[in-house]
Amino acid sequence: MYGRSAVGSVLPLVGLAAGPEMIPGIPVARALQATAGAGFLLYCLTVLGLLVARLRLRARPSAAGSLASGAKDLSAVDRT
Amino acid sequence: MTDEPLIWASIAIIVMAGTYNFGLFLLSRRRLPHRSGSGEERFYVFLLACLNEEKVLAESLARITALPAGKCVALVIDDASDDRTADIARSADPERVWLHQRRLPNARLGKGAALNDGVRLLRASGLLGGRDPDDVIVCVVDADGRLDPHVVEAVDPFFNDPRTGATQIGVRMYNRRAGLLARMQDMEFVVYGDIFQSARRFIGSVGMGGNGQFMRLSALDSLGEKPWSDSLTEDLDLGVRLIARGWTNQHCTTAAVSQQAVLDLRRLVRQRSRWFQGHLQSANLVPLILRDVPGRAAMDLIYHLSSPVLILLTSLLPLSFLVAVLGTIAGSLQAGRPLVSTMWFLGPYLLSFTAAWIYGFVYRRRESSLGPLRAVVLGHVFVLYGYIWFAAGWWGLWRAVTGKRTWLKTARS
Repeated sequence: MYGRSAVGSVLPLVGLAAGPEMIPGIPVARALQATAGAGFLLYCLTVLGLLVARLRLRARPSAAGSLASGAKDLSAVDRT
Repeated sequence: MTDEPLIWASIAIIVMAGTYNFGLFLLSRRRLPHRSGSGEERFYVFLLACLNEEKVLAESLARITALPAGKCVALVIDDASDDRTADIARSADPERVWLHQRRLPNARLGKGAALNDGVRLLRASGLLGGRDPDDVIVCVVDADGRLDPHVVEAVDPFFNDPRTGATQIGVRMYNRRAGLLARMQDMEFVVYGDIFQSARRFIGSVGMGGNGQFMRLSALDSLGEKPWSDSLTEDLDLGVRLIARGWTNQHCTTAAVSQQAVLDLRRLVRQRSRWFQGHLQSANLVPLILRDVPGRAAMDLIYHLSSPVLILLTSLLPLSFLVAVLGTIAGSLQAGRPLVSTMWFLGPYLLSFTAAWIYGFVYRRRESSLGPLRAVVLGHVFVLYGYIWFAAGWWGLWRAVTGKRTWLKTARS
């Protein structure tokens, strides 16, 4: 993505001078933030799964051969 | 509180994104070794896939025909336009501008299909006069693209390295003085090129854009008969597949193509929704990346391709902040005293706007006419402008979920 989103505007609870229970809407704000957090944990789990998948894929002999060389694979080159 | 770990996890998104962005900023400051020309005579073909581009094509062709004669030609692929696109191409110097007309029903099948057709013609027609595909550089330019006059001199040395498959140049907005929205798009492309793309040269994960991508014909050949996919972001797709094939993608910071910024907010969000949906489609590249792309580049590409997920997640955070602010205002009015301290503003400011100073710094290096204060202010506006991606993201997700894949192209103005 071109735009690196402005990912701030977090920590809505920082700086409160009163108990959150006194402020309407705070439970909703917390729920939204917790949803983002839960999604991120799921994201991390998925990335972990991808890393495991990568290790398995690269462990296969056919993949390992092409990776070890690091050279471009020109088998499909059509030089007509 | 039971949701405490989740709250911290949401903060971890910010920390991760901030660390990544700052790391790439530092990496982008490293200098590449100077590349000099080798004297090799390469042939440049500029591909312009055109569907009703009469408003902008003539200017673009004028720029291309002003490039060194004998080594640069333009191939206009008219994708069954209704307007004067073909006439404009025909009226240009026939030695320098070739025209290929596609006809319905085998036309208007997307930019990728048109570009594939153009490359097929190049390979089959003998237009290249038997040149070695290693020495033929194909450049994709949008019909509104205005190339820098020195673009060939700037790009050519990158291809001295036989491993270089493609080189992306910078992208600017030629109407960047036409208002704040245009200025933000210009800043967006400068920041993307000068920070993210520049840093990725050292990681091996430079991406291709739809405008100003230079590719060795032999690299395109290595991707088969149809190098471009029918993805909504066929450029992104192509760049990743080149890396997976073992080619190196480069980013050239010393030349740029200028295009027209979108001046209407709704059209801009729609354009970004299309890109977002294209990114979602690119998830099918993940197995290829995991299997064939070396470590660091693979990690970076996975992070890049997963950015739609992170955008959707982080979109909840400003919403959370907004709800909390409104609640606090209501609570303060009710209590008759302010219920917040200055930390309320300091924390979110630091998390949201620290990057604004970096963006302002980077942009001012390209726009030296800007004063430092104005650059910093623009940096702050740019952070807010990034929120466009939140709207675009949810719109793109909705279209993906509901199975809508067709998009009207962004109209020229």
